[in-house]
Amino acid sequence: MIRALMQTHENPKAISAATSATGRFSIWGLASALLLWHWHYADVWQTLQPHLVMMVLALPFVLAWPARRRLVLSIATTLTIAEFFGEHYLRGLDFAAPATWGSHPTALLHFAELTGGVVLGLYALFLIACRFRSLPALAQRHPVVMLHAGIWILIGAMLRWPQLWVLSTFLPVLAWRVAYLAQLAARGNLGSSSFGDHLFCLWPVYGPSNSTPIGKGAEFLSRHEARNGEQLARSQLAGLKLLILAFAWTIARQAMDAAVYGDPSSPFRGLFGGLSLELPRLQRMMELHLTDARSAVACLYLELIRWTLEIAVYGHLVVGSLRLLGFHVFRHTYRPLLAESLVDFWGRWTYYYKEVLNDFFFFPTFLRSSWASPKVRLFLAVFAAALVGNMYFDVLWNLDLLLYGKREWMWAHWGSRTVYCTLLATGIWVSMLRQKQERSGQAIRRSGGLARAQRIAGVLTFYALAHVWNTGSTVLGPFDCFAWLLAVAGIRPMSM
Amino acid sequence: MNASLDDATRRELIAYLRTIAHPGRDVDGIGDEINLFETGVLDSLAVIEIIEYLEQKHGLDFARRGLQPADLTTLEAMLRLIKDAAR
Repeated sequence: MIRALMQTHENPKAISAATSATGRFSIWGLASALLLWHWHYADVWQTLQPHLVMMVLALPFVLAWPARRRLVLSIATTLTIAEFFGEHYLRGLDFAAPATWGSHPTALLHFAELTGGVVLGLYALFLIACRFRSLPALAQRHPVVMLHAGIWILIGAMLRWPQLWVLSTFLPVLAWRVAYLAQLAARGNLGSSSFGDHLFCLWPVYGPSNSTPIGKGAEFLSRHEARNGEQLARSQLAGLKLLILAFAWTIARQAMDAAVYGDPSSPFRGLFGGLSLELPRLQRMMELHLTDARSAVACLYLELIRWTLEIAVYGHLVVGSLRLLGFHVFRHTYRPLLAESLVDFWGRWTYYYKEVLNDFFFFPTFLRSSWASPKVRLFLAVFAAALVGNMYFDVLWNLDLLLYGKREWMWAHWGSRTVYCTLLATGIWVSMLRQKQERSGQAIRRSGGLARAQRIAGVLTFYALAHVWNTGSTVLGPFDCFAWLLAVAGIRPMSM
Repeated sequence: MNASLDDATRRELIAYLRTIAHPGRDVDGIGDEINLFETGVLDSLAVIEIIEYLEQKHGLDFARRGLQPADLTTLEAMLRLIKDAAR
């Protein structure tokens, strides 16, 4: 029954029903209800919230005129940019009290200028990409490197002139999406595409104002775009499925928050009669130097599960939206907690994040290092992606740390993150080598339920432990994290 | 490349893909234009194995020519790469 429900997008009868006017209206109604529920009740990541509303507004137009999908999305994108800057502008005007446009009528003009400026800036980038073959030879050879060199010039300017800090709010959003555009131009695949074909990918209406480009760039989306009514219906049913899954995982996460963490804001708190394990979140537990072994072990695994639920909800909402718009792309998160190898988990946990690291770090390194032995070559590529790329991505995403210039914060956050990325890179490298050995028959993979359960437990334990260095704390440095683990293991008490 | 060489290359390539495909997935019966990754025949690890195979067996220099996302997704695309390299 559940299996049949989850496969609705492959059911010919359901697809046929979804192509009718009533079917399209029902899809919009159900999708809107789910999106608005998440917007209003589910405390999803703040960066995603405005996009949920914008999707509800854009979706009926896409359903009514699927062939005009890109035009609708371009308009919706412009509105999304306006909303993004509106919020930041108002926040910048008055930190003490929530400002409104009514209290700052002249601000509207400046804000409109800012929105127009960003759209024009994106258009300028598109024009540069169109004239790729006229660019200097260095830019043609290394377009992504040159793009990021430009980003660092802007960061340098921000460090010099704090009034430019507004750039830090959207540089990470654009960095990787423009990189996909640059890559496309370098391959000569820009063809006869128009600005409207790219605007909605550069600043996606399907969300969010986040640096991971879910759905990658225009080329990837075009490859997965519905070409007829049947494909659109299938894509939309698959999108609805993800929104329903997001709803289910949100409920599970809220129940977990009440039962495990005793979160008073969870709607399940009352339902459970206030009963809770009252465990702290991992970061809090570490910062408070709590080292009870049983609580710590539970906290480590539960943190991984909670983090996975949060990422899954976020990814399902974004990919679900993309599918509703007619882009039948892969999921961002696909059953990572059932992964049987470290590399498998990494690919299933945050697919599009892994893709950015693959596209801009792994493959360029792998292709250029054919001189090395297979093991060394794989080592270089994996470390370029999982350590160097991962760290670089995080630096761009947390530019504020750099701009505020507090060394202790930077050391705590990026020092710990370096340990996490090194562990991750080592684990993935070893995991890939092992998979290669298994394929070539040099190693044997044990079969059976118990062996499978052991592999899954091993993967979860690795990521739960590695996450100790990835809590995002600006208080705990890498050695503090290590000391906490030693104290939990009873090897060395933690000094207060 | 003449027709018989084409056939031999194709057979060799399929034989190689069989060694890296997911167990139980049929490489022989799959069409030349079918995406081997989207259909679950191959996974992401297979990409690097195919690159190594094409470099070693057919002398392709990906560092020089670059890699398009669609280059390694279908049998037809891989055969085209081999053909181009042989010219």
